[in-house]
Amino acid sequence: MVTDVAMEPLGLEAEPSVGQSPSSRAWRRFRRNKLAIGGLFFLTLVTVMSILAPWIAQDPNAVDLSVVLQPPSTEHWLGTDQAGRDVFARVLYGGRVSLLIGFASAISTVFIGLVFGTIAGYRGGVFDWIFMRLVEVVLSFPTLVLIIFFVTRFGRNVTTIVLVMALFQWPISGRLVRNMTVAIKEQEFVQAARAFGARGLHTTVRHLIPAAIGPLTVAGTLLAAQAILIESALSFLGFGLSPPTASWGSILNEAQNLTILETMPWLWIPPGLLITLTVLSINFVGDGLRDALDPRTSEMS
Amino acid sequence: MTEQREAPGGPNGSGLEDSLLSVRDLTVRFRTTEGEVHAVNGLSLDLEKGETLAIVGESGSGKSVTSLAIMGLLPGEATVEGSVKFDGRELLGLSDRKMRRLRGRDISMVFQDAMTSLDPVFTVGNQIIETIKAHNPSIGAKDARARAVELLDVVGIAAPHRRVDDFPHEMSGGMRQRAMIAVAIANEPSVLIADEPTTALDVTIQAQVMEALALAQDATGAAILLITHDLGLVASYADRVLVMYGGFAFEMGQADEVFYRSKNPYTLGLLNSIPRADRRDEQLQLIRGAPPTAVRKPVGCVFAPRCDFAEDVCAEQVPPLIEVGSGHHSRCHFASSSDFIVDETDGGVADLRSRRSIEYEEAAPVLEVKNLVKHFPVRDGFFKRSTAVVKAVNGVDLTVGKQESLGIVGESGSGKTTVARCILRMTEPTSGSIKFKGLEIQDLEESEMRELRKDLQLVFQDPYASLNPRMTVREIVAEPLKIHGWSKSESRKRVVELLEAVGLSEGHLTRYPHEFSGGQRQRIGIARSLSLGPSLLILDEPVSALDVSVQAQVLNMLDSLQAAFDLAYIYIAHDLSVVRHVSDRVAVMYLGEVVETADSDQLYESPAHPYTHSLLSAVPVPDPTSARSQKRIVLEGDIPDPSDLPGGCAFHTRCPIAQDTCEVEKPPLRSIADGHMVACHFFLEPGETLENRRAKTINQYQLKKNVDQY
Repeated sequence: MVTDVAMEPLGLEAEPSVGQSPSSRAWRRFRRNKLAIGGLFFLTLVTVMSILAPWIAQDPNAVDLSVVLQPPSTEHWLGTDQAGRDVFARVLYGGRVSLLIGFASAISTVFIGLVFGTIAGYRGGVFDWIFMRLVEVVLSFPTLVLIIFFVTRFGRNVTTIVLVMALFQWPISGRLVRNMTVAIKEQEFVQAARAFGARGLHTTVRHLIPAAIGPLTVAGTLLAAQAILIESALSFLGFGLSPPTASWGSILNEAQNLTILETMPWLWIPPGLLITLTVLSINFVGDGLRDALDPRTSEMS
Repeated sequence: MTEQREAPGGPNGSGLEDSLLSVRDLTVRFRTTEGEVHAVNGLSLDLEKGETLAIVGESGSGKSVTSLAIMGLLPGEATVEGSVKFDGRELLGLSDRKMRRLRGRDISMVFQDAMTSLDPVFTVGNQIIETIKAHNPSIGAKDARARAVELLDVVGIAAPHRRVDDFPHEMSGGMRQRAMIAVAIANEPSVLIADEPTTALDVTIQAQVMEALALAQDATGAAILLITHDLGLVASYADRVLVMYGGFAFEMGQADEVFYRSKNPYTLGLLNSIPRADRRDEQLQLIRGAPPTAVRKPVGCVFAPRCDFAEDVCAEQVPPLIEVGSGHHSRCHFASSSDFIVDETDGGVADLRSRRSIEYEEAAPVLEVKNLVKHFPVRDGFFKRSTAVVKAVNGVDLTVGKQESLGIVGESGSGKTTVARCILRMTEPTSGSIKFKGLEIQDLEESEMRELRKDLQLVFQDPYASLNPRMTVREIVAEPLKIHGWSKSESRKRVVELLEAVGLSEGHLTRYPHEFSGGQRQRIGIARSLSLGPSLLILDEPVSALDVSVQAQVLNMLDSLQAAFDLAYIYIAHDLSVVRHVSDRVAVMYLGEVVETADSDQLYESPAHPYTHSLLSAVPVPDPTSARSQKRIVLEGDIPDPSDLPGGCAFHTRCPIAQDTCEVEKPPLRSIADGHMVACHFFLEPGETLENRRAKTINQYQLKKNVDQY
């Protein structure tokens, strides 16, 4: 009914605009999404600040027992903790860890999912059957408990956490890619490519992966956000990186105290707020990317 | 001709209060993210008791929006103004509760797709009963059921007392559509709105459904508002016609007036651009461009950009609806001053067929298919055992010469697409031989086949699904070149050449498919198929997804490309009219077999197979007089299940002239005249019709019976 009035802006006589590369038009589509732009700005800010931490903040692990639990001041912008460490510095250094874990595990998860999902979807048959059963098995694990087990068994460091998260999260992206591949494989444009003599590799690279990239990017941002949250939860439970390494979660963990929660908000509001805003920003950017990566999205606002 | 004046208050001038349904100055606008769209602009119409008014238009004409506005079914972002009166009562602005009471009881609707409009989890009978009870809660269960059976009987469903308990998916497409008509007339509405009721159906099924609609109209006396894009259907079934374009009523009047004495350049263009099954058109007249799909606030005439007769005034003023005859109105500044005769010497008319003078019979065939069989095993259950076999293709022979066009016609399930897929080796045939330029395709290695694909190409039906939405036009057209290892600069040059050949330009290179209209997309698909310089192009329903006025452009383009690129075509279609226009020879398929093949003129003028006969008679011709005199043979039943083929002649279950022999003995495909082959024991002689054959058979049968008695 409403398809009857669907937009088709270009008439046969209409002059097409020349010289706009697909990527510049994708950027224009992204720019339309104000939330995504805001999210991108915030993420960039947090990332740059974290990277520049050694130059703009003090030593995060320097203990100074003469200034414990001090409120924010010009000397310590966000006050100090129980060991007299500078909270501002710990938050920035903590951001390095949290963001690194978030992005590294998202990228590895997406990569594993893309490889297995494409193969399973394209080859089908027994391979697909095994893949899907494996996905179901892994998704039914109690993830957090297993992550705690692996982290305590193999060491509380960034590499272990990233690998373990990839190990338990890949089914999410893998199943997504597999389902996309199965659907796209049956599309007429893929059959057309086969009728032109295309091999499997061409079809995969030109048709299957580009179609999966959009949803996969969105899944990737969600996974990054989730990894940050899982790391926070791990640290909060005391199974995160070994002290004194700071992460947003471990700073929160140290604030587990009624007095601190009631009277010393500078110890828990900054990391809590950063976790929330970062995860939110990543989600906004994911939405924006999904629209930007689909050329069918309108460029007009 | 009557004096030029603007009709006051709408087409019928006086007597407004008498009509059953009267729409005045209906305006519908949609707010969209891309601005306001004027979907319907000041439409007025009257529907009288018991008459059939057809609203005909292409996509974006506003015909469906009009029907939804009358039903009060438009979504919230639509602004509706004007007046819709039913039996003197204003419907616009009526509360949803009051409107609901009216819907189904007084005004009822038949939708295009019965599969989605019927609820899959309830039986058909329950859905009819539910509709009856909604407006007549006191009716008893037994009476309601009896009524449901009666309604199914009215719309021509055999064994209605059994069918009443069927779920929608247990019925065939045509039967479902008839069941939906039964639901729609359950409460004897006085207005029945049928929105493209047969668009998704095969011609013989379409004839059944239209028959059912006519029966329903007889039984209830309802007025029908038939919404369609098919002028043939309009000519056959409508009393009056309203032609819509870009949200405006362009012409309105008695069917004969509009078809024979049209005073509107759009209607005339449309009538001239459709290929017809009942005559051979040497040329299809073109309407340039594509219909507008989103009309902003109209400044001038919306058709002006495509009109051959447009003058300055057309771009500045919206033309008035002018009375040009009794009850006949046309929206054009020149409706009463011009006859709209197209100057045949200008570029608007393409005359291509006459240029082709190649003697294809003498050239070696490009393609030879012999005894092709394709059976698909249906696998079921845990161990994937084969439980049944779908016999899609059962021994097909075809030959295509150089630069020849072979049309393959058949309804859905006839196996025509499977034949194409076998030829392209997209599926492996069960048995038989396919020789392309003398090479047996089945014997080729993978790499040899890849080479051969340069020479053998396919154009898909759906220009939306067959182009990757994430690739630019350049990437799409260059894809086959890339696969076959062309260099970037070579392929770039080639792509521009190809785009120009199909009427697009270099400026379109970086655009994406969704920015083009259906016709343009099909051109892109054709350019891609031509990129490697094939000698045989298989076209699988290439225009069936396009608007009527755009079909002619694509058909004419295919015609000119055939000569320019030295192509042979296999043209697969369910639409007999289109096939007649493009084919040199035609093969008619039924249930995986070729039942008749002949030169296109011969086939259409003297069909020999009863199936071809009934197909031709089922095609609605866009000409009211011949439509009225057309003896429509409505084939009974549906195409049998290809996994359970009838024995003997596969057509005998539906054949109007079948005899005992047909049930046991399969007729061979044999030559009955030069190049005319038919597979029928009792084929019809030239000039003979199914009616007089049937009469003769019955006489003989009577005679035989009499003889037997003595």
